[in-house]
Amino acid sequence: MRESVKRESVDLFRGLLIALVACSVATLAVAPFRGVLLDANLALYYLLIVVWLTVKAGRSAGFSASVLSVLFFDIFLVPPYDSLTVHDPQHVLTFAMLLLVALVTSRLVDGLRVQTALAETRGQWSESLRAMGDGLLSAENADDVRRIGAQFVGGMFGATAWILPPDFSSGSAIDPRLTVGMQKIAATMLRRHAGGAQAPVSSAGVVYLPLRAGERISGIMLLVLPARMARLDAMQERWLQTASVQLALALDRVHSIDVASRARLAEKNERFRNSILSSISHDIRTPLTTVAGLAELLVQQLPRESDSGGTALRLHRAAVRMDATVTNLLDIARFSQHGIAINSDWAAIDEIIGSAIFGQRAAAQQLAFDSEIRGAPALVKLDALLMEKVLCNLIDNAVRHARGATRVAVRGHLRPRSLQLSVIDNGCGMAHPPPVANVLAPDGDKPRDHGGLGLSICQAICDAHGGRMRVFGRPGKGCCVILAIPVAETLPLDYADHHADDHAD
Amino acid sequence: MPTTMPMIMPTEPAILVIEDDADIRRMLVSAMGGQGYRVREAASGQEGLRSLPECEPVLLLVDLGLPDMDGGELVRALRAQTAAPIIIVSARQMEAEKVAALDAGADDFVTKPFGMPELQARVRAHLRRRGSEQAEPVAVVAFGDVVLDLQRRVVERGGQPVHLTPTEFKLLATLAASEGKVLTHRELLRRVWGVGYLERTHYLRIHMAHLRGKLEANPTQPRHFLTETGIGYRFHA
Repeated sequence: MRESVKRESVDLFRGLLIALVACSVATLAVAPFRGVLLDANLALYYLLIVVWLTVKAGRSAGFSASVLSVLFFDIFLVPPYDSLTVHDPQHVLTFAMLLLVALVTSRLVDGLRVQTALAETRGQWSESLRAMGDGLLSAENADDVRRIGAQFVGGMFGATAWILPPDFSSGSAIDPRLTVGMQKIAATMLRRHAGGAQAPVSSAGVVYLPLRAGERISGIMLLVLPARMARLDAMQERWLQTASVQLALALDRVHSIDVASRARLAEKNERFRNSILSSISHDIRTPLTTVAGLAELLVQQLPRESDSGGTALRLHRAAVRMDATVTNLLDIARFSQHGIAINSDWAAIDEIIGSAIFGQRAAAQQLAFDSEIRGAPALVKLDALLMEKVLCNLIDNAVRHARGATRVAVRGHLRPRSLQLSVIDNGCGMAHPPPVANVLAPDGDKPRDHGGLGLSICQAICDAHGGRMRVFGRPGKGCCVILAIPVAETLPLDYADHHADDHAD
Repeated sequence: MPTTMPMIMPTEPAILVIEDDADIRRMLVSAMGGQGYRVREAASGQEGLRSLPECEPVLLLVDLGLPDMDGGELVRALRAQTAAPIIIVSARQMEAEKVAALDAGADDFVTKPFGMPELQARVRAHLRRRGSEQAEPVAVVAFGDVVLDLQRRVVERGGQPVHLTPTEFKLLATLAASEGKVLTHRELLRRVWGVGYLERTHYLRIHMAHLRGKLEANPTQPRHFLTETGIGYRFHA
């Protein structure tokens, strides 16, 4: 406040000085002709001086010149000379009108001058915005946008500007000129993204302005004001806001380009991988069917005790096992291409367990299967095909990897909110059950051992159902895999006594 | 092109194999030929349909993944011309196609890679069922320790009468009448409850669970009421 008063008085003094000099010179120039020139010509002459001064030196000079020209006119050019006194009352009128006209004209001219100057500045500002827009068009990534933006904004204010990404604090390279305090304020402003248009916040000579277009905040702009500039005026603030929106839009543009191209690339990779996987799977499965079938025909035709009979049997087993692996590969291809689509329907737990055991019985002729269901029998809503696949894989795992096992137990236990399924063998067990990775997890550990593929498919299906799978085992005590699947809906079996029966004859 | 096996007498019952993969076709031919059937081959659906009239098969083995025809369409076209059992040969993960083909009139399916003894057993079972269908309708069906008397509407297990609700009895009778055949959920719902109940698979599952509980020794390892997950049920005597 005080500064602006001081600046105004300096301005006034400067105007007065200029006006004094100009009026003196002008008066001296016409002094030789005093008494010769008509008063009207002299009055117009002074008016000209006032207008010229106003245009050149501004309002205060114009105002001072208006007063001074009347004084000089009176003192030096109107008789009696070198005195303020006036003999002719006509002259008093002339002076009054000259003063009035000079003041009004100077005021009008000054207004015009300010308007022109303002328009010129505005033109410059908008030109700079346009230039920044042009520069941003060539930006290919967010770093380019931030660099170009900081250059333009800094250049516009003759100051240093930074544009930081929303996650700048986690990034590595931070400009050492950014103080910790500045970083803290910037981080706070990024976190507290109030809705609507953002006004710049000034603190200790630094202006902070979040960049936002629509919902997303795409960064924050920091502008260190030069020493001569205490704060931004309304126009600069408006300009800064416009620039920030432009920058936010540019950041959004490169962001969406980036996202789209990355998604396209990922999709392409995925499609390629899956097409290879499924064509391999198909091309393997067809001849495999032949191998398995022919081996089985040989088993039928050859005496079982003979060497070749045994060979045929082993050939058949190997082919069937390979088919199981191909099935797992196909499942992975299908799941990772379309995700695990859960097709929930009413399912009976005994049916799932029963058909899983039935499907694996051929491969496990020497094993006895125990199965039981605890809890009230009921229908549950889940994807029976996927659950059967899980149980098949777990039983298959037990059949193949549990050496020395004689029994495999499959148990179902319906709890109030979950279904617990367990597959238990009495085989060799294992010292340290390995953690099972979800084969679909993008950055998860990929299964390494032989049994891992089937187990990790189980894990993926279990995860897709929102369930948990745990593997327990102790050497010599067998292994146990327990699944807990959340169940939202159950239907008690006596439901039929009240409803389903009514409709039959 | 269709070939006949010269060393087998033409009076042997004929089986028509429609399969596009030559190796699998040849394998099926030798598997079935070894069982005393006359086998006709067709490499495509159209060829199969063409050779149907002069071949007069007692059973058809049809691949679901033929290049020239949709499986369901082919089964429907075949079913329009013959009453012989149709067994579908399909890859895994084709439940919807299997259901469509079964609904179109197929009797059974095997999944690649199929076990040869299993396929041969299925073929025999279907031919036996077809033979008994053509004879007079059976009045008594026995399976395990259960005896089902369709005329007296009585079920006994181990000599003791078992109480079944009317729906359970109807379901049991429907299953027993199609022994060895895969009945889809829709088919069973249509036959037992009626066309208004085709989507209410939970009725079916509940009654199936009751039937298993009453007639199976261990309902979680059934021997007679077999589940084809995602497809339907099969009754095995």
